[in-house]
Formats: sequence, C-alpha cells, structure tokens
Amino acid sequence: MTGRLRALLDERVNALSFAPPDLPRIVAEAGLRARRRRLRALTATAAGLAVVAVTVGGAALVGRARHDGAEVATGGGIADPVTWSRGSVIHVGPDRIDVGFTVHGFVRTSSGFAVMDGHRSVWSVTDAGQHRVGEVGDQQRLVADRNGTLVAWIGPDRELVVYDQLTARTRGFPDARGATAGGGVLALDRRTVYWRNSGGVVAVDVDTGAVTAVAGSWLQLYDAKNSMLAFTDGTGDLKVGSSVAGAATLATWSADPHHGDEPVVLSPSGRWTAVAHIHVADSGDDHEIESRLIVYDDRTAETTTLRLPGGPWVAVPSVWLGDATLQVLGLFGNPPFTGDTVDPSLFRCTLPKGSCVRVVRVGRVGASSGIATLPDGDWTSGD
Amino acid sequence: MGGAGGEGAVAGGVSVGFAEFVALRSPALQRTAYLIAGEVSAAEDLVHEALTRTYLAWPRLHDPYRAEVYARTALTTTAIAGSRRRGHHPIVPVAEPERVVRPADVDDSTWLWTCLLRLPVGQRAAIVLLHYEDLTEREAAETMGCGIRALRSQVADALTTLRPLVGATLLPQQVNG
Repeated sequence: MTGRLRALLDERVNALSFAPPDLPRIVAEAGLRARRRRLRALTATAAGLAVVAVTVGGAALVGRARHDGAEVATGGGIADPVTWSRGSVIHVGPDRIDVGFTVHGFVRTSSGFAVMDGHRSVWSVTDAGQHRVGEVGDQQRLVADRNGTLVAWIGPDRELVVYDQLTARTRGFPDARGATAGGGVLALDRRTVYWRNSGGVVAVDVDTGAVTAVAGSWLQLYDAKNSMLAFTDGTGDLKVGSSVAGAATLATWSADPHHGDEPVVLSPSGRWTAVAHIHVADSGDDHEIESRLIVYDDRTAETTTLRLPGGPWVAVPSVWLGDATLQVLGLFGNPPFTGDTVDPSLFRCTLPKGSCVRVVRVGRVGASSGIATLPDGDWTSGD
Repeated sequence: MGGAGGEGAVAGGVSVGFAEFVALRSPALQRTAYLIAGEVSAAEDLVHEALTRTYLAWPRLHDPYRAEVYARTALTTTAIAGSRRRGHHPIVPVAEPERVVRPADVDDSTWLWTCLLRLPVGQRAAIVLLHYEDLTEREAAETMGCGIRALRSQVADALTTLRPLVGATLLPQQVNG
C-alpha cells in the first residue's frame, strides 16, 4: 500500500521544520568550485609535463641514485631553488631525489619532503630515510610549513592527521562533532593547523591539542603564515590579517563575479600575498582569459604586477621559496590550449622589485614520461 | 546567467531563476533528503550540497524539471556516497527482526519511521524514491546512480527487513514499472 506508506511518511516530515537554504553561501561555494575547475583546467596541462630540456643556472641536471636514506639534497647550494617533481624524481634546483614511485603530490618542509604516491600513501622523505607515515582520504592534499617539520592531511576517516618529521610521531585529531562532507585541511602555520570540519573553520594547536574556532564553514581560508591569514569571507573580497575580524581588504573581488583568483599564497613572513588574477569569460570552451600575477604588500595593500619574460598567457603562483622569492608556473602557447600546445616554465620572482627569471623550461614529450607536480601539496592524477 | 529559469537576470550575483527554483523546490528536496538521511541536520547538509551542484550546472539545465531531477540525483548520490564512507551503518542498529517488539503506545507513522531507520541509506533511498516520490524503477535507478537490477535488489532487501517489523499492510507489494 504505497498510498498508506506515503501518508505515514508525510505525517512524519510535515511535523518538521528545516532551515531555508543559505543562497549566498550556495552561490559563493559554487563560484569557488567553478574557479577551482577553471584553474585546474588551466594548470592540468602542467600535470602532463615532461622535461625536455632543463637548465638551472646553465648547469645540466645530473641524475642521482634513488633515495635510500642518505642526505636529502636541498638545492646544491643555490639559494631558494625551484622545486618540482616528475615521475619518481623530485627536483630541487640541480639536485634530484628519486623516491622510487610516481609522485602524485608533495610538500617541502625544513627537514625534507612529504610525498603522496598513487595508492594515497603519505611518505616522509628526510635525512632519516624514506618512511610511509600514513594515508590520505578523499581530500588528497598535504599542507606543510616550509620552515617547520610538520605535515598535515585528512585521513580516510576524515580525521586530521599531523606528522612531525622531527620526532617521527603521528597524531590524529578526530572531528569532535562527527566527520562531515566538505571538510578539509586548509593551511599549516608553524605548529597550528587550520581545518574545516563540522564545527566550521578551526585552528588546532598541534602541541596542546587545543582547538580554537576561527570562523564558520563559509570562510574560504587560502593560507596562513606567521600568524597572518589570507581568506575571503561572506563579502567575497580578499582579506589578510591576523584575525578574521580585524583583517584588511586587499582586493574587492565581489565586484567581479567572473574572475578566478587562485591560488592565493602567503609568503613565510606574511609580508606578501601572491594571487593569480584570472578573468575567465563565460564563453564555454573558448578560454577567453585575462591573466595577471599580482603580489600584494600586506602592510600597505600596494600591488606589484609580476612581469614574466616572454609573457605567458597564464601565470600561477606556486610556492614561496624564501621570504621574498616566489616560484611561479607560467604557461605559454596559443589557443586552443591543450597539453600538446602549452609550453610551461618555472620562474623565480623576487620582491619587492617584482623581477622574474625563467629557471626551468619544460615541455610535453609524451605520457610515458610521467606526471609532474609542484610542491603545493595538491594531488595530481595521471599515469 | 541564463539556464533553467529561462532568463539571464542576475540579482546580487544570483540568477533569479535559480533563486525561484530554490524557493519553490527546496521544501520538497528537504523532505526527500530527510527521509533518506534520517536526520534534519544531515538533510539540510544534503540539500545544500545538492543545490550547490545544481547552481554549477544551472546554465546547462534548460528547464526546471531537469533542474529538479539533477538536484534530487545529487542529493541521493551524495547521501549514498557518504554512507559508503561510513561503512553503510544504519542509523538504528539492526537487531533480529523477531526480537523487535513494537511498543503499544507508538503510532503507525512513528513505528514505520523507526523501522525505516534500521535500513542502510541505499535501501531507504530506494523505498523513498519509489514509494514516496513515486518514481519509476528506471527513474529511481538513475537517481541513485545504479542499474535497475541493483535497485530491485535494494528494494527486496529492504522489504525483507521491514516486513516482519511493520507487517504487509503498510508495505508496497510491487514496485513501479
């Protein structure tokens, strides 16, 4: 008797009251996902990169043996070396570290690297050797502080996991109110991990375990460094400050609903915020794109537009290599932009001058050559 | 942004058509979400996720009916995927049906609901889509992201669990074609 069953269930649901959908939040989240999709589409070309010819300071790269616990190379003495991976090899300036499996994502720490393999395992690669230290869940993302020894990710049970390369200890932080979809690790600042969980955006002190509410889940926290937060709140504008309430507006993004401004990357001191301002016209697959790479001085909100030699059609900040040195991915080519036609390069840009030099020119030579990733902790699929 | 609403007007960054769709259809989506998820807060989360996905797809959803189908599918598949991640545990622990005794002071609606909560999310979704939403087997299977055979299996398993608890009079005898 479907009619009877329906009537009884109606009786049940009619007695309830639901909160109305939060339309501005829905639109904000959808916009964020759309921008991420666009950016992923743009930078996906980098995922299929193969190194054709690589020159770093005029020196040809020299291969080294698979990493076996010996000293982790960190750039051959070159200050702030650009860092990326291809296949199983992490490149740090002229140095190469072969981890023995395809790198699908990695981050750099003061002790070495944390790496994701194709089975979602997380590996710690330091002078102490190469060890499997955990497994990422659905988010498939690592965060770290370049000047610290902590690495954090969300595990398969949606718990926050923090590994300390200094002590070789792992610590788990379950979601106190029960794991929820849409959560994820956001940033790591020294000994504090920022995490979106069922309670909103929270800060977890790794040493004490203290959890502090930062804001509701509506907060889009891009980065945290040196006690500075870079985020967009309900206004949709980019803000930077030591707290959500007291932050200053850097850019009025809400005025332009068609832009995509990610990634947003704070420098280690919190002095600079690098932003890829990518305006994508809503014209289907035509890729009508206007791209600028802007660095804000967080103290004054003054901007520096980075000029990359050769004028790539898209430039994306990757990671800060030093306090005033930014690694940038530039994609060259002409429409239509596909993995076959895009010519990617890595640049090193220096503030406050805003000057950039092309350090590594890469190009696609075939899928068999392995995937490439940048040290931003994001997962790259392929192979 | 144009799309299912058939207009391109934008107010405060939100398509007027989408805002109308949310206003008109979210109560129905919330009811379905509650029956599948079993909890109000979980239902609200499901609807939020489904509407976010629908908003992303809005420009290519050319009529409100398609938008509703899209939203209901997003809602259902999100609920089932979430339940898979949690290991398919029912909200109310499953006990041997013959050991479950209906309290004398519980009305039919409450008792039916208590029994439905013993089902895994996939089975409950199958029952809700077929016998509350009145979808056909094909529509229900598409909404759940599975084939008709898998849907029938879910329904059969659900009825096997429910029949000793609530009796045959409350339950459907056959599914819709």
